[in-house]
Amino acid sequence: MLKVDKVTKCYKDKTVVDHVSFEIKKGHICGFVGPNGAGKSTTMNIITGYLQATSGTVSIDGLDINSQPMKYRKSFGYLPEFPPLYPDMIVEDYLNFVYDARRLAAKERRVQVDEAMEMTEIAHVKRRLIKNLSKGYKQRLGMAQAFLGKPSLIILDEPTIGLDPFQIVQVRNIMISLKKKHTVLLSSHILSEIAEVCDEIVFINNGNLIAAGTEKELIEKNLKENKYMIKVSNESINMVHGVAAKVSKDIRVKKIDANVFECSCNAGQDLGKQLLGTLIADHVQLTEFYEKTNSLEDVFLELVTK
Amino acid sequence: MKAIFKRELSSYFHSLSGYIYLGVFFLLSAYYFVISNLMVGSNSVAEYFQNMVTTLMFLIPILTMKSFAEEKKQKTDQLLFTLPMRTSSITIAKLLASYMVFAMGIMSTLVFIIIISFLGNVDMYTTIGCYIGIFVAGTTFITLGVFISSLTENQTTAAIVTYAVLFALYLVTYVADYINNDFLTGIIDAIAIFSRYTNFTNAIFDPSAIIYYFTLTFAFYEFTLLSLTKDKVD
Repeated sequence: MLKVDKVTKCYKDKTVVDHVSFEIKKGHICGFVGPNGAGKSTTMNIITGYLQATSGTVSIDGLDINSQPMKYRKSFGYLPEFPPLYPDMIVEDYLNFVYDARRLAAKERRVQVDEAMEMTEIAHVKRRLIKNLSKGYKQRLGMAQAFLGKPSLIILDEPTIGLDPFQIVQVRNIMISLKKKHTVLLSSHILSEIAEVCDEIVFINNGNLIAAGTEKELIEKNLKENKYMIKVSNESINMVHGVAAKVSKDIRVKKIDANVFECSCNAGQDLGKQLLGTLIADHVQLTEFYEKTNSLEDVFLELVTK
Repeated sequence: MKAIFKRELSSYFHSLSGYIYLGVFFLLSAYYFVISNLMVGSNSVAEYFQNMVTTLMFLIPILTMKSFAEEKKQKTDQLLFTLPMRTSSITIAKLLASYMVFAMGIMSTLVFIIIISFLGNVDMYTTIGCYIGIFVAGTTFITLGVFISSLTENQTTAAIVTYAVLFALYLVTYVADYINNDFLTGIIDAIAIFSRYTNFTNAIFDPSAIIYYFTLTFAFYEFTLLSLTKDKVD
């Protein structure tokens, strides 16, 4: 569907995107993750043609961005980081304008615009001036314009940024509704959202692609430890190190808080049961014990701090 | 292109800029009509149109300042330049919208020509020549203004720089009189866009002046494209 092949972007003496390559299969939602300044928006701007790559190619369904730019641009809808809205227009007129500017079939305009408004739940504000919309509605309007014409690929650059929790849920529900029906490239800082919505994830840092795969693949490949969180009473604080050493010399103990410890061991060693059993046997006054589930946040921190 | 043209034209009248431009233009035209014709009892249009073209120096920046600068500031350029539409089409659509508003202002002056015709005979050839002259000069100024707007994301900067460039080109006409160097005089003659307009007001139909203005308009259009397509896929 989307193929990004060794895309590089250089400015004078700085390389901001360095030979980034990835593919998104049809019907998949791909999360594009990285810290601020990693090169996410630059890469997305290159994919949309807003910026010219220094080298490398991008294609959608075989249409090359450089050799067939107009056909290429017809095949995607794009919501940039700041929704491209004209404050002096009303919602419906704006969508009609974008529809016409995309050179889509005029006879289907009403149906397509109505569908986009229904999908993003903005039909009830269609006669309102854009400058009078809340941030959440503006974001949804930005998404609606990206959906016009039902493009093969939808590119969303940080669609939930700056929204309140209720608005984030609304936008997230829209993204979930896209699953299977559309191919989506989505960039976000909110890893829980990426984990919930995306089929696969691409990590980028300092302009380099550092990892790619499904959530499960990324966790298994990059997190090589099992971690156990232990909370004990004040009287038992000094016992934890001793108990851990008794179970195995490979257990590493890290104090997180006054009464809270993190015990970690290599992924191949499942020492949780032994550790719990020994803590109980040695009469350590446990208030909490659980195995910490590895998450995308852990993968992210592991990868960007390497 | 039609969608961009319609949106651009309507934006002049959703915001105040179109009304301000047309209102001020008409008021100034009326003022020049009063002092050039009514107060002195003259039926000559030459001085009236000569004053009008210097008015454009102040008013064209109002028309063109937001053309691309506002798109950059509002980030709507990320929509425009990712549409399945060439940058040339987008630029032409914006230019045509500006030309249209400019033409509306010029056409409103017909009322004064009609009034002059009641005062005495109006030299139709001079009048037609003046209208042709002001249209071609106006399109050149507008294209220059749109080019300058494409260089910045601040409307005010675009307006001030456009005015400054037009004012400098206006002053250059007078500087030529004090220079004896042929080479420098040649350069000044090439950029003295206001002096070429004078022929139209003197009832001299000068095709070379029209070619000159169209050449400059095309040059500014190309500069605009260069500015906009730098580092973009087009």
